[in-house]
Amino acid sequence: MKHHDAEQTFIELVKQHLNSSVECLDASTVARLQRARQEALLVNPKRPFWLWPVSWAATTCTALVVLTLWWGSVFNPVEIGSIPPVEDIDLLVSTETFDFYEDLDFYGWLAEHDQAS
Amino acid sequence: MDQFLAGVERRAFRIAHLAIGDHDDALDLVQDTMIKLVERYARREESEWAPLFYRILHNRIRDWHRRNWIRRRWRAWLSLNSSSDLGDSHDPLPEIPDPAVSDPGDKVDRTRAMAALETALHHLPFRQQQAFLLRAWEGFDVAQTAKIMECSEGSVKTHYSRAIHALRAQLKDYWP
Repeated sequence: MKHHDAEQTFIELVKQHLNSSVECLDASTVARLQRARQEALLVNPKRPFWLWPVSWAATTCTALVVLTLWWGSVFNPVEIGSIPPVEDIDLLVSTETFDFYEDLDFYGWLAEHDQAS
Repeated sequence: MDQFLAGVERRAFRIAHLAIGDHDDALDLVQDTMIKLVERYARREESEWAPLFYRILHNRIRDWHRRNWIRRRWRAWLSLNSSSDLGDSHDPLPEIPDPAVSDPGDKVDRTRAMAALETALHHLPFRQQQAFLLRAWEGFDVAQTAKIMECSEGSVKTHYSRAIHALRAQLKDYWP
């Protein structure tokens, strides 16, 4: 027990001395340590190893989607007829209300009826 | 992370300096350790940072010793070394001011004790030195120290016990 106490006292003394030596580091060393810390904090963290398979899977999926779209565009080109005619642009840019277009057939019939009469 | 590094940087420097005895190299080792921790383990839980940091530092110090050993062997082989290059005459006496001590006699005693402690720590075998500093100063338990040093818990206990006995024997004039 006495031996253990003496050992503990010794360790405490050593700790005190080491702690005081840390507190009394010269200003130049402290400044260099601070600079080293700031430089270290500028480093970008690397992606952890366990995320690598996830990254690979995401990259592969993206590549497959791009490849599929490209494949479709090469072997199944868009037909000209499927492109909206240019005159439809008038419909898109006109200021007429939707009610007008819904009743367009009626207005057509009315015009024909007027001409006939 | 900034707070953590600010809290350990000075103690890490003292450990590195005690281990290798070279001021500039010790600073470089601490900076390397900081960079590695941020680069590889910044995303880990905060509670894991301390053991990881000291593990990296421990490995860096060990690598430094290996490189230095090989360098000295080459120098010896090339007959370019002198006795001073071998580190035998290296004097790690600190030049540490202690403004808290006002009594000159007390200050001299403390400085001598500190110098003796540093010399004793510096000349301990590497694993004993690390086991002692990690256990006694940094406060890691046996299991954590074993993880940091990458050895068994029994080995840590043995190194620690031998370190204490060696230090007490060498410092008995200061701290009986």
